[in-house]
Amino acid sequence: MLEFQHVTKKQGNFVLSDINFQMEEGFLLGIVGKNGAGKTTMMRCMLEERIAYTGNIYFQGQDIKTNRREFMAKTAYVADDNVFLNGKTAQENVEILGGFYPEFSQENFKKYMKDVDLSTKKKIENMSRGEFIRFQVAFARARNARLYLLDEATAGMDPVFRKDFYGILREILATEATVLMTTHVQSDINKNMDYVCRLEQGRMVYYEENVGDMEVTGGILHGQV
Amino acid sequence: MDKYKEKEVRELIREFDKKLLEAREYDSWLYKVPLYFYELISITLSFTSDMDIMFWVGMMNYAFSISFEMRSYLKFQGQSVYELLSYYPVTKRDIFLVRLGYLKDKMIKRLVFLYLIQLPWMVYHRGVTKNNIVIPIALVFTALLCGIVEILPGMRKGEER
Repeated sequence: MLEFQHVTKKQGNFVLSDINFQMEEGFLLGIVGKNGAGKTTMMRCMLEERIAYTGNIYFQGQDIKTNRREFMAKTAYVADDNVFLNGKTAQENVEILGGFYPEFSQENFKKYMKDVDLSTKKKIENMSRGEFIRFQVAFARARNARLYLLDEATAGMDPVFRKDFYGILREILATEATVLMTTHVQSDINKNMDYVCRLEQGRMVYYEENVGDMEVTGGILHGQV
Repeated sequence: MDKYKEKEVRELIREFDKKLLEAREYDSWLYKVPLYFYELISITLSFTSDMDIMFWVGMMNYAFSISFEMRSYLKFQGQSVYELLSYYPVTKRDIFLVRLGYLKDKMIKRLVFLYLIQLPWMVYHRGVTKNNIVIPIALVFTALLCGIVEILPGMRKGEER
């Protein structure tokens, strides 16, 4: 279970204020909100090593601040600003970086790369945005990540592959992993999210099970609010 | 307490560094050429009997060679290794301590060279003087300082993400 308890983060004039929620394994949480609402800051609270926030974040019952190495071993950040060795192929990257994860499997990586229709011989710098996201998902699956943090992962994906991508996410969720995903794409929210949370100016104004009649305009979620 | 053992994590970082050094292609010479150049000058100057040349130029070269060697662990084809590892199950402290370990190994090799080869050479030419003690210590501290200065900005860069 992922749990935020009164998480507050101040950054200049912006305040991510008193975020509270619990998220069970096996579900997909969609985080929506305008640009600057605090979606990325919320993810950064989990990912950044020395970020200063008050409150607590627990994953599988452990405070992530005091168990950072263990938390990061189970967490996959999937976004276009993630860093890999650009001049190396996907295969070379995982050979160098996979060693950090005890559960990483080369065989599984090759299998998952096939699933996302991507060659392991392709260099990171030559990948399109969509391919880079797919590579990260394959790497995360091959190391059996338990928490996926997807930052605008489906933006710019073609509709055909987006459908397949959610199929892959469903397979991931079936393994009792937890997925948090920021998105602006309305069809993503209505069809695919199990829970939806909406942030406005750093505050969580909505957190409910998705009933499929949300409407997003300009990053604002309407309906059921 | 984090169950991921510190020793195991540092071993993983060392393993990662080893693989990264093996994976170097075109940029490895960017580090190797100046490094060998500074090493060569350092060793040549170590056997001069001119104490002023040995002190000033030798000190600079020691410092440069240490800086270059430490930098090779912090950058890979222009990418910051700290930044690369920011979403991995390691802390900045782990990375820093591993780098400090490399620096310590390098310094030990320097000390052995200084006290077994260089110092007897100086004593042979100039006899026992205060400089014979001060110069090696100054060299070691300058090089150590340069090595640490090289590691620290890498940590700061990682935090800026």
